Amino acid sequence: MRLLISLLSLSLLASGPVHAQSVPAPWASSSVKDWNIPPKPAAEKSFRAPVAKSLRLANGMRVIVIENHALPLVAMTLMVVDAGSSADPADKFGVADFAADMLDEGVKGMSALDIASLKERLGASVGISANVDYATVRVSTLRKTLEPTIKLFTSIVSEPTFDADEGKRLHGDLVTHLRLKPDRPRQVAGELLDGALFGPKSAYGHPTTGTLQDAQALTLADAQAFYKKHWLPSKMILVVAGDVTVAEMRELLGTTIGSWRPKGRAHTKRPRVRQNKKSARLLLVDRPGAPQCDLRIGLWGLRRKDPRYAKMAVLSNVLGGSFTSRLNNRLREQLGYTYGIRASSYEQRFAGSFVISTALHTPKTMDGIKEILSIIEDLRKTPLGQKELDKAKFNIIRDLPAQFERNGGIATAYAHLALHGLPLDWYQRYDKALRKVTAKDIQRLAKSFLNPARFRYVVVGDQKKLSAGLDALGLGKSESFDSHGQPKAASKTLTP
Amino acid sequence: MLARLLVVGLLLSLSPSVSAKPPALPIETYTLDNGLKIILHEDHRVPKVAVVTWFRVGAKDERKGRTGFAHLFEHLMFKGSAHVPDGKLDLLLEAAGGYSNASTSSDATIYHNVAASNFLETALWLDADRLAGLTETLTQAKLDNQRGVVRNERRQSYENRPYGKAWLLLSRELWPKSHGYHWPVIGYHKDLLAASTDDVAKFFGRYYVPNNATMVIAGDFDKKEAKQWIQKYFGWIPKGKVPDRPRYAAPPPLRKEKRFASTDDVQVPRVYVVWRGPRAYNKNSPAFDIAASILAGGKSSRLYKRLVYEDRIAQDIEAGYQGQELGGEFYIVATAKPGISGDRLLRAIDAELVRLGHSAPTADEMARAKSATEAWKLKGLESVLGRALRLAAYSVEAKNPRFFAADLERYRNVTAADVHRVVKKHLQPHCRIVLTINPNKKGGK
Repeated sequence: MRLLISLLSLSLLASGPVHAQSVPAPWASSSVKDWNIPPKPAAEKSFRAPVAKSLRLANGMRVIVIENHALPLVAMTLMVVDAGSSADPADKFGVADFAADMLDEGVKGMSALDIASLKERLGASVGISANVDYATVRVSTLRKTLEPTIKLFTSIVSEPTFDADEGKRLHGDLVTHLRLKPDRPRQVAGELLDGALFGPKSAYGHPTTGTLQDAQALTLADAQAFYKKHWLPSKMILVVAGDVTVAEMRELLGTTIGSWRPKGRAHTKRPRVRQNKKSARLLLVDRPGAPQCDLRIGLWGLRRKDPRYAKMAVLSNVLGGSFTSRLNNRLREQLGYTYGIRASSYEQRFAGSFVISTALHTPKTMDGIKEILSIIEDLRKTPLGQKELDKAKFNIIRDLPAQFERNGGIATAYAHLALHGLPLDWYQRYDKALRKVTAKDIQRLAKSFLNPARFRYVVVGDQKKLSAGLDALGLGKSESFDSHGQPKAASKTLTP
Repeated sequence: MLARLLVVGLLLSLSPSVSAKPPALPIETYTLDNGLKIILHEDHRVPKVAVVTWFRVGAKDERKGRTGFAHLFEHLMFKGSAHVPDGKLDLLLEAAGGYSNASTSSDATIYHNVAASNFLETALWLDADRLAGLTETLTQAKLDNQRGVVRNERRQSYENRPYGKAWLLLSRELWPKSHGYHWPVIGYHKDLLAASTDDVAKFFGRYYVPNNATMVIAGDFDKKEAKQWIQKYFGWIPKGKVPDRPRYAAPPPLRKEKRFASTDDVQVPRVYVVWRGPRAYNKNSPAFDIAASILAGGKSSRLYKRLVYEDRIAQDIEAGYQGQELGGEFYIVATAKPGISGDRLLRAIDAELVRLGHSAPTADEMARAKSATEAWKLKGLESVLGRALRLAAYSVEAKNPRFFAADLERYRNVTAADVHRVVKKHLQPHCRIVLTINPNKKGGK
């Protein structure tokens, strides 16, 4: 006993300036043979994603049902393909978003306030939004109020009134929200990056809400026309997950949303998605006095169905997809430049982006950027060791079941598979593909993909403190933008 | 014929029951000889486990000149311990498809490890090693390193965020200087800079003892096996002294409204109206929650309807109640539309409070608020981590880990008269703080 303690004391003295004033714990009194060795994990549990049953309603709407009787809850995710901002006409950016927002502002027989009250009474939540490739309606409710919730959902989707007063109010809110964009510098950074990669006036590169000028020009008639043209049953996939049975959903949906037969034929115009070759390399926004700078480094990425999807998932995990990732471990834990940094791959239907995102302590911005580039270079030069590769792979593989804990997560997972035309057993295939990824795969992908010549940089911060350093980095042609993300030259014409 | 019968049958089965039975949350609880409270909840829906350890120590236990310390200490719990090198905890749990994180409040520091279920023993070993021997490998370098991270956290979450300073200012006014809730959990830069490794060792020795902790394991595991591991890894850790912690007298009630203002790099004013409220799990706290929902819970709520929807003077509005160990806070926060002043918002808010003070909420408003609350509570049980956190909170704060059914019940029992009383007696102008954050020259037009 005493020997153990004195040995410990010696080792403590030897290891440097340790200030352990508390007496070491009596480790020897435990039954653990060797505290230094992590316990061996038990046998791996094989996980299968829950069974999804696919059916089609009489009006052409596709339905996927996943039964989950753990709790008396139900979630539904409706995907409306091609009703997102990539379908915005070039002179009506923001209309998909405006249209989606209008749906619960009034339906046949119910005002916006009636809808809100009913939702609450049912213990339900209904969220409607436009993304890039799609619009979506997300519903969650109690099992005991499922039928009236589905009736409400049906009304919202099939008979919105686009009331003039509500339209005026909502439009005013959207415009005001955009006026206040300078208060959301991270949003500005993200939008600038999308514009740099895809083109600020392109299908994929314009903000979903449109710019302030875009939104000001929109009319309610525009929104209603968009809805009529794009919100059609043949373009819809409805995923239901929760305390339901397939038979009951077939019946319930068949007599409600499945009976909706609006006029109009679905359009399947594919959006133009091209790399923006004309953009500046470095995009700057000034925020005088900001203690941190919001940095985005991005490049053109993969589309969702790219066969390299699993390899990219592992690459982005290694680089910046977890707490122990290279970027986070180095810039946050080792160097203290930031509270967090991450790298993410965003795969849309027709193209994608790869983005490194962080807020750096202003004085550490240059060092931070240099460090990021050095880490990327290292990844391209040197193949991963087995341990790091396995950690990343299993970080993803062993977390796949988490997607299926909540009904909302289940519904979203399957809705995305359906959106991209991926098979319903995709998660099993993904698991297999992840296990096959090698260190060589990662290095090859990093070499071909993470080419700094293709990077775009967005720096939102105190330019007085940053500009000399950024110039010295020689990242390439730079362009300045105002706090709304508009090119500085154009800001003079922006109506207050 | 058959089809019609089938339809009728379905309709019958779809009709809502009057009061559905709450879902079962079977648990087993016991306490080790060293005082560590254990709660076990088996849930085999997905092959995951969550281990939540709740330590009864938070910002209110900090001594003068050491604000932010409990949270800084929390960060150090991830920097290795006696037999676990710095960084290994995260590497192991990430390879296990999980992660490790924690949160600090004024009252508590709550750690959670989430992993694939076959790694439960690993998670327990990691937690036992840091509970028993965190400071055996503590160095000045580790402290300096995490101090830097926390200061970046303060920048990102408060200083570089529009309106981020609001709650730092509000706590100061709501609770007296001598009270444990007066200073922010994140602390002040000068105190963070002053923290020493001696402080860490002392804090650890005082508060990080098994008899000051509750551990919940929820998920896909076997109780018998878990109990063996718990005994093996934790049973031997010596019991500590009951922590000698600062005690706070009940603060004198606020007798006069305090209004003050600050500026920030923002476009429009935002108003915060805050009152003290009852402690968490006090018999009145459900009524405060329901009141918040009626005031700003949705589009048809009193304040949203008036300020956002009808008068169109606010961009957004929210209300809420946060109960803690020594007392609670009830707040209403509204962001102005351009051209509207904080005063204008406050006048409209006050008009609605007066209206609700004059006559109780309607039966429909009560039903809506209760329904929304019940749905939210049920949804919180969908994830394994959600269950573990909820069970821990029930055990520590409500002093009953089996509180779920009673929790749903106490909300169902709130009456319109209860809510009316909350507004009329408690949400009065004389006992509140009002902060307006206005645009500074940079932000404003």
